[in-house]
Amino acid sequence: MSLLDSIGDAVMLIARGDAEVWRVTAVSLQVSISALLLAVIAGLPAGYAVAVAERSVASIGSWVLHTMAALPTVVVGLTLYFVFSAAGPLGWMDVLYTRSAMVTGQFILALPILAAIALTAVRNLPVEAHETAITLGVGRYRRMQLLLMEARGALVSAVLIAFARIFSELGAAVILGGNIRGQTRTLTTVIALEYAKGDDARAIAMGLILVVVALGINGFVHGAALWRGAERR
Amino acid sequence: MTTTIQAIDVVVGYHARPVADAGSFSVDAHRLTVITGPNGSGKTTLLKTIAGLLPATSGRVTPRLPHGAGGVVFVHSTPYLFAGTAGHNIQLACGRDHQRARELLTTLNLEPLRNSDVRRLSTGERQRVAIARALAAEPRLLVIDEPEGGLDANGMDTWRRILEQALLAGRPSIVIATHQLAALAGLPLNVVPLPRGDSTTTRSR
Repeated sequence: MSLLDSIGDAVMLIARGDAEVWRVTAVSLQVSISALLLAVIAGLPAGYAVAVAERSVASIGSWVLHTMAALPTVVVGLTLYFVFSAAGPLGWMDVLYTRSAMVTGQFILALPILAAIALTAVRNLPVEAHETAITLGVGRYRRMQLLLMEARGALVSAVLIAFARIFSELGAAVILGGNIRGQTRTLTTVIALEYAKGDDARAIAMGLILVVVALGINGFVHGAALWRGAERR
Repeated sequence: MTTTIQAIDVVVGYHARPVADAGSFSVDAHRLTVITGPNGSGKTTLLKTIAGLLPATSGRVTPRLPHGAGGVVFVHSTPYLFAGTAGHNIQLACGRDHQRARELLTTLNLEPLRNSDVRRLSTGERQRVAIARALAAEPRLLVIDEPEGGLDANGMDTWRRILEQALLAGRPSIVIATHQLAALAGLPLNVVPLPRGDSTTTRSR
């Protein structure tokens, strides 16, 4: 079967609304969006806290976060596998091969990206921004909100980059989810499986959806930013 | 004369590197304290030290006022306005007191700009928003770096009116750095001149 035939079959699979294709897409989105939301809630304040900490703390924090942001997904998956496995310290939670385990893995992958970019963005704000927030006597929590809002351009990028990383990752998803049909099967794990089985059409169909969702979300966010920019002018 | 704060043998600088020796002086409620000196003499560093944004290299400023409401507020020579409207910036400093925000917008002729995005404002308008925002916090001490920057004749008139009212009421006490002493003629002043940055002479006032 030629590549063109496979692509044709893939498009047909999507067009006729193959239930398995859409179930897998839904699981992928559910896991990645949950992980992303949790990582945003934890990562942005964490990045801010490190940014406004003492210089030495901020330098070490920046190094740690940037190093963590570069961790291979498969290493994160493997580490959490040992943590969640029956003999591991959190084995009693019985979450291995569930979406919760996958969300945890993707959360750990997204968190340092969001925190590291928030850290850099807040540190790069003009000193006058920090001083103004302090001198007006606004509370700590409100000050964090204000300064993160000032850095929102970079933070939107951070969210997109973090989403791209976790939505397209395979290592943690396959190790922690186990690729169980209807439960933990995601776009990337199916691509790997179908490729191994030789079902190119299904693998390409999943690949196409992966690309379209990633491009769609990027396009939506950039479009919204352009629209808001135009509205202000 | 009500003293708001006192600077005692104050040397200011960054990271323990001295920039200016300001000596000793007091900031009074009914006298405008004016820091003068050539460029690079350390006026901004001294203002930030008075405002509690920088520690003194040696000596002390006493008492140490808290930031914001009832304490000290600093306004930069090129004010930083937070993203949003002029009204949002002023409201930020006075919490839920919408009445006070409205009064300040009117006092500083900013009512027409209330809903304007701060990125659209001119330098003088930004300066007025920053002054209104600082007053909105109702500080005991207001520290302003070159407030006349960007203000046109009308803006200067408004600014002078605010100064006169504050000096009469004795609140807030005001410290400014300026190159334009002439514009302050007729006001009760306490002038604190800073020598060039390389001076180490200690002066008392």
